[in-house]
Amino acid sequence: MIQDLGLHRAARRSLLSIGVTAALITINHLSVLGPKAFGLGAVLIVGPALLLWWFKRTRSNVAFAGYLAMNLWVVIGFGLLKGLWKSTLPVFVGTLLSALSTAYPRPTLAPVWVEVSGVAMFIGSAFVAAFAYQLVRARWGTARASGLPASAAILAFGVIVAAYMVRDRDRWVAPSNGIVKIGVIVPTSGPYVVLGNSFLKAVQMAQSDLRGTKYQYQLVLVDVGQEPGQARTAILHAIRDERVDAIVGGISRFGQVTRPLATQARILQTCVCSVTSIGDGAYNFTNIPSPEAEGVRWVQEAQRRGIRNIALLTQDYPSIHGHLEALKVEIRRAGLTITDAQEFADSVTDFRTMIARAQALHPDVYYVEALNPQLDVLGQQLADVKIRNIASVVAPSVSQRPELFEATWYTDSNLRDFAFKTRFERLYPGTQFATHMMPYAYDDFNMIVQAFERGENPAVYVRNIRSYDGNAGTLTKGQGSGNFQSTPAVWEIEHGKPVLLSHQ
Amino acid sequence: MTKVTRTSMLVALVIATMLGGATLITRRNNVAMNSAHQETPSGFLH
Repeated sequence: MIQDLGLHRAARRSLLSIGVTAALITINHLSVLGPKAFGLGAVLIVGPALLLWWFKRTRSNVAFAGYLAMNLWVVIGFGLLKGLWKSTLPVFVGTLLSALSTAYPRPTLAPVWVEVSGVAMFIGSAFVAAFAYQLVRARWGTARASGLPASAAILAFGVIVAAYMVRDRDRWVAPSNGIVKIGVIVPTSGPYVVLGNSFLKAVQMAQSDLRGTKYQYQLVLVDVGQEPGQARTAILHAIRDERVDAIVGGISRFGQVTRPLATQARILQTCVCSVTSIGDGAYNFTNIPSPEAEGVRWVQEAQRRGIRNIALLTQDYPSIHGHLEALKVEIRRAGLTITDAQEFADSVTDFRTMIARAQALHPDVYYVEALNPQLDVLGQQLADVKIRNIASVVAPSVSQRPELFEATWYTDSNLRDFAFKTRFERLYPGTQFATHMMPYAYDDFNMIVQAFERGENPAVYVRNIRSYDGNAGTLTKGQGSGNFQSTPAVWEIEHGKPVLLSHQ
Repeated sequence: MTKVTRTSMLVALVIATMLGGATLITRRNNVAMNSAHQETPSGFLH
């Protein structure tokens, strides 16, 4: 009778712990399974309840074994493999290790509610294991609790933590056959074709400039097409089948697709991408001047030229919004005045009314930023009314008719040595030199080469970089940051060609 | 305070610390790793 009471109490506690843990498992799996997670939760609650009910009625060993099997599934499958290994250890141990040494990546964590429910799942499964143990003791009538399971659990926990620490560390692995494969992820068709091709050429130039290296460096071109879905397949192929050792990329849209794949494969991605969230400081790093840096440099130059009043003529486009926001902050900070601000859609081809409105307020400079074909149409219409006091950020460098922007000044990436541009144009005649991209592509490739030549894991090597003297001047990066910072320079169109006016 | 009460309180404290700690660490980590927000390209076309 007493034994029965003990068994019932142990069974109730065990079932309650399974129910609570199943609810936590359901919450945790909502992010992956969506509404199907409720089905999983139902199986985890109803299954054990039915088996226990069967056991209580019949004392069937099959029912009891089935119930224990369900417990085992919850404890090992969800508690240890998912809750402990994928949430609790990354959150606590992974974060601690990454704070202590750059050999460990900062863990990539899911949203807070997913990670916290993962940790709760692990805690819940510990209760499931403890109450299942009590139930087994009550079932077989073992009166005295043994200290052995607790000691074994602590030992097993220690082994798991040690295994996690070993696995989490990024180690140097010498390239097989002495060949380092570097994936170049850029689109070579569609709207990014010009940037993609010139990016590829810059990386090829960096490769051909290598002399006396320990390893051979092979480029693996990953044509990502135009759509992120197509890109994912191509990138996965490069990582899994081509087994690339590192990745250089050049367009944010594809850098965003690459980020989780590079993290999963634990390989370095350096990206000439303006979307800073791609740079996680673990395996993914961006390298391009920020809109804020462009804004600061632009206003410095405007002040140097005695400019007080500015008219804005800009296209409604996300990239341009980024520059404009940063520019406006700096303009306000410097006490300059925006006399007029007009934004146009990509369907506009007649800018004469807009130009006349801006002209009526006699600005010192017209800030113009648009993509082609509108950029050149606007340039032509400004030239028609003899407006030459134009300034911009990057835009004139991508004009197909730079002569329209004669005497226009603008900020763009710096070049430590102008001969780099000349050499590129001589090597690849007809390929546009995208100043805001090329030197960074060249530097990104060389960072990877330096890592291998020094015998360091490339991701760890880049994590440790604080300052890098590259083709675009000095790049800097804060501790733990995934974004390299650089100072832009001032350029001017002279005789139809971009000329670098200033250095940092 | 009985031994059972003391143990229960200790276990509750450990659980609360783990969940609270996980919340804080994950939030700070996601901010540091730029995982918490989505951006559109801010440079020229990329």
